[in-house]
Amino acid sequence: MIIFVLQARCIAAVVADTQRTRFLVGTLSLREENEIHLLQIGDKTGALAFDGLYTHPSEIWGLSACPFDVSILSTVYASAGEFGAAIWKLPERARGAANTPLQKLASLDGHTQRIKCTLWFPKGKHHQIVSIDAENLYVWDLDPSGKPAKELGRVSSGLQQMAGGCWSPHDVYIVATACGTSLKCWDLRTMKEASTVDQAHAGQVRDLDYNPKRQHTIVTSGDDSKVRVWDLRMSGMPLSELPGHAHWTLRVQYNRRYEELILSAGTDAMVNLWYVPPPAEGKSKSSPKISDPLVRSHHEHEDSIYGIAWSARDPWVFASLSYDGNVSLSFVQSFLRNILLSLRFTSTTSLKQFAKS
Amino acid sequence: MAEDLDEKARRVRELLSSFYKSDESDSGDFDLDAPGDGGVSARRRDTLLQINTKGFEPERYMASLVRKTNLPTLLKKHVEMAAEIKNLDSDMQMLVYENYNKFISATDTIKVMKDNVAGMESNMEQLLEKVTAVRTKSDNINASLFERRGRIEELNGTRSLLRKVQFVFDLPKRLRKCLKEGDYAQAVKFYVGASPVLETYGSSSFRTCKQESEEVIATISKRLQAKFLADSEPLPGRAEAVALLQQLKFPVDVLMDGFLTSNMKHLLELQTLSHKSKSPDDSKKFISEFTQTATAFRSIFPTGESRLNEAAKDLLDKYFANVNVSLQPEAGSLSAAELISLLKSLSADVAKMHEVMPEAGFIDGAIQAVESAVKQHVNHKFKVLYAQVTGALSDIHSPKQEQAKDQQKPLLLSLENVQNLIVNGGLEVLKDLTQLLDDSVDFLVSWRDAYIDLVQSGFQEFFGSLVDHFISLSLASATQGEGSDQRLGSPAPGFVLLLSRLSTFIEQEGVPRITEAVGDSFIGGSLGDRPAFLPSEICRAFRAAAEKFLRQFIDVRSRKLSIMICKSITTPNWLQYKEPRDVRMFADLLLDEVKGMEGEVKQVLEPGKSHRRSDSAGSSSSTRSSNTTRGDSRSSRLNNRGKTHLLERDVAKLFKQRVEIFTRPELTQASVISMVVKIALKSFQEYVRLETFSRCGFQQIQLDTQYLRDPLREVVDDDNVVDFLLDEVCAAAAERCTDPTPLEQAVLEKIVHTKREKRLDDEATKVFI
Repeated sequence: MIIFVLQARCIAAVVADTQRTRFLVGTLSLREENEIHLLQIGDKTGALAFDGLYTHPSEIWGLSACPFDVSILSTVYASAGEFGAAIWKLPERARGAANTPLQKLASLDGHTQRIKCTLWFPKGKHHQIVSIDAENLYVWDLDPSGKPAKELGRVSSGLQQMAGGCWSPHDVYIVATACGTSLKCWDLRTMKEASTVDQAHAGQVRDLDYNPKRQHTIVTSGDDSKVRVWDLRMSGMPLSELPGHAHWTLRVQYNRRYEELILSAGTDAMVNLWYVPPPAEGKSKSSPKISDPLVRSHHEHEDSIYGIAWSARDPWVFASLSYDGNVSLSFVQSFLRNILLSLRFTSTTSLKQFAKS
Repeated sequence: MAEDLDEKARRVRELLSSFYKSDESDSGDFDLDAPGDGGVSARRRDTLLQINTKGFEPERYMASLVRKTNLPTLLKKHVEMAAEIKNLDSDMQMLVYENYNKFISATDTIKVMKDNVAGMESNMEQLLEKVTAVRTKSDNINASLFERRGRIEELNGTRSLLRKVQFVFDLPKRLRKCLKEGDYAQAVKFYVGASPVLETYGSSSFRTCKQESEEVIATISKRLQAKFLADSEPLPGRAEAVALLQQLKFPVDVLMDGFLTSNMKHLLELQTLSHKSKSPDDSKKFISEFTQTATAFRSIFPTGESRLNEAAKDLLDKYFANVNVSLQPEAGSLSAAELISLLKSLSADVAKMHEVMPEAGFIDGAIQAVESAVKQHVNHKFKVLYAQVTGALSDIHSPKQEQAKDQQKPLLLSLENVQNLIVNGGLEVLKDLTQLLDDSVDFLVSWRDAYIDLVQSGFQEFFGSLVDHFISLSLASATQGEGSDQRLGSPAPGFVLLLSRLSTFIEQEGVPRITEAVGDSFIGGSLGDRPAFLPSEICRAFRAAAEKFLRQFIDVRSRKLSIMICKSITTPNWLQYKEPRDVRMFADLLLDEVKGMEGEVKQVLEPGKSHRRSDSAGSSSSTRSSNTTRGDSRSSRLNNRGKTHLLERDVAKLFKQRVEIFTRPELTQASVISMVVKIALKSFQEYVRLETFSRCGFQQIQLDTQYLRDPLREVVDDDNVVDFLLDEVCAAAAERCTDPTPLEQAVLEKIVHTKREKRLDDEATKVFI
């Protein structure tokens, strides 16, 4: 299930499309024309197949899909001194045309440094977008009519280099960023720091993701190769620490539906799937005992992995992208699915019983 | 004739019985018999036997007689009967006469009685009259005498009172007399007898008297006290004096207290003296004094046992406080031998004291004291050992500047030092403690098991806290290490490595040796379910710790290298880079850093397996060749656009030896160093991938990697890895380069060569200086 593309760093699930499992892959090629590949799991084959190919003017360093429109995405690009971020629309595919250029909707101008990532508004249709470069965080208002994006505000992180961020799905005014060795949350109303985890990692924090179910829980990864789960209210000690990878851990992502599943990838060419049971609250739920949080290591790749993405449709599917352009599709093992499903089942039934009584 | 007599007697008897028996019963008898045995009754009627019964029928009898008997017999019968009748007649006559006489005499008697009784009645009446008179008279007398009796009784009371008063008035005199004679007992008896009166009337009528007698008594009491206090006085005399004083309601408790305090004070002085001098004579003196005091007190105050016990308890407390002080001196510690001698003397002393006062709980106190002393001793030993080890560690942790300079291999020395400390120190402690066990003092015997447990758990705790200490040290050093990253040669990573080595040492050598020693002498025990000393648990903990420290060392070291590389990559503007003239500074710094690490590692770790290295000449040529091929492929890439070159690269990768980069580190020099170098080079590659290079930038990277290649190959256990990773860095730079034209091989080698020469020169001058 590996598809060869050019060298690539970023992959994103098409979140708005809940009918099909689709991924966007942006290539990173200095000397060739860069492309955005639309990949889709074939209905019959169950394997990844090309669904579209769109040219992109420069190297793609970051990519995120619009949460409400299947055809809209944002990229972060840079090549040979130039850099920027833009919102694109996938054009209607003209049959036969191999490389269709993307339609540029808006560009986020004004960054003085190379942009690290863009973040879409996490809840519903909204025209706000956040872009993060090494020192600043910008909030933009997108005008759907095609006018240039309007800057709503910016925050400077100071000396610490920002590497990535995540817009809280629980509180739309909070954006968490990987800020040097610490994790910082910004309040977009006041444009001030809301909470911090200092020394979240011994090296640069590379990636972070909000727990989809818990407001204050964030998973981070960093250059010290560790993966740590934090409760922002108790920033002294991580809730749990996973050994991570043999070299840097570059990506970490929660499964959207099952908060127990954490996916991580690193420069040791491994994709690791972790099972982290949520902290027991009140009465201890009889969570199955999995002694080793590392459920599975995927060895398919040969080069560093810079991109992972859970499928938007099927919670058991995820894709990983290595630097040499290989996309690998993997599935959560059935035993783990059974455990998670049984957990859900028992908890819902007990809730029903509780409601009845 | 005899038969006749019998017959007759029988008949008489029957007659008499029938006379005295009621007729009815007789007839009843008959009636009862009659229907049941008609034959018998019929025959009876016929026989003479029934002659006396009612049913006797003379006619029938006659007829049967006539019928049955012949004439002579009949005649004979007749004669007999006639004689019998005559006899009966005379008998009857006699009976009648006799009874008549009796009747007559009875009648006479009754007549006499009748006469007499008639006379008595008047007499009785007379008597009654007289008795009544007597009674009235006596009543009169009683009434008249009554008034007088009360008076007499009053007078009698007054008399006795007067006598008492007299006694009281005489009391002072008597007391004085007694005083003069020295008969205190008598005096006290008098005074005690009079005291109720004096109490009651002392304030009014007998004031003077009371005063006087009290004065005398005071004197007596003083004398008694003096007598009691006089040590020369024989014990019974003193006891008597105390008894008398007690009768005088003198507060004997005070005396007791006085006695006890003075004696106890004396004893305490003795005790402190003996404690200070520590000579056995003094302690013997103390014991004998104590015994004397106790016996004296017992005989003087037979009732004061409880007080004695109390006082003894105080003394005991002080005694044991002293004992504890001598057993557990504040400064320094006792050796086991000293402790043993102390414990022995203590046990002897206490045994003596216990004989004197079994209730005072000397034995309990002694056992407690010994227990706590031994516990303290054991704890102290472990504490000292722990303190030594941690002290040695903290010395390494923050070495003094001069010291670090003086010693060529500070880590090696301190490693050996600490290793020796742990093993030898542990064994010494064990030896010391074994002595205590072998030289078993009485008290120890009872809780030998507990002692063994104590020692075992002491070791368990020691190692446990040692692991904890190691971990806390490693954490502290980790944070410190981050802070002092700028300062080269910061001791933290080396220290962590030392900890790792130390943990492994403890796991593999220290603990087994200690376990063996413990097994030799401290077997048994285990009051709980499992033995207190669990070497396997400790080994596990240390193994885990060692692994953790090693990882930490590698992390810290490789991070340091990574940061250097990061700076070297992110700082320059690669797109406007100038033609490379020399290898950049950072490469030297990197090599210095690696060298520093190598120094640390070589001190602490064992060399491990030898380098897998092909001879240097061959390797350099192979490097060159691989480089040229790479250059070729790159140029070909330039020519052929499209994905073909990627495919090419992948195919090339397939044919290249796949190098396992991230292996599990072992605790050997080569393994650790290679691990660090590998991680650093991997980071190098990743940083390069984030940049975009111009041609000159790429050439600079090429130059740097070429320069690093040989020195790094020296230190790593597998050259292939270094080659592979440095090639990867170069490839990454080529990929990220707009114009990847490599430097001419000749130029490259020339620059690297001159740089290397220069570095060698620098090093030589450094050593020379």
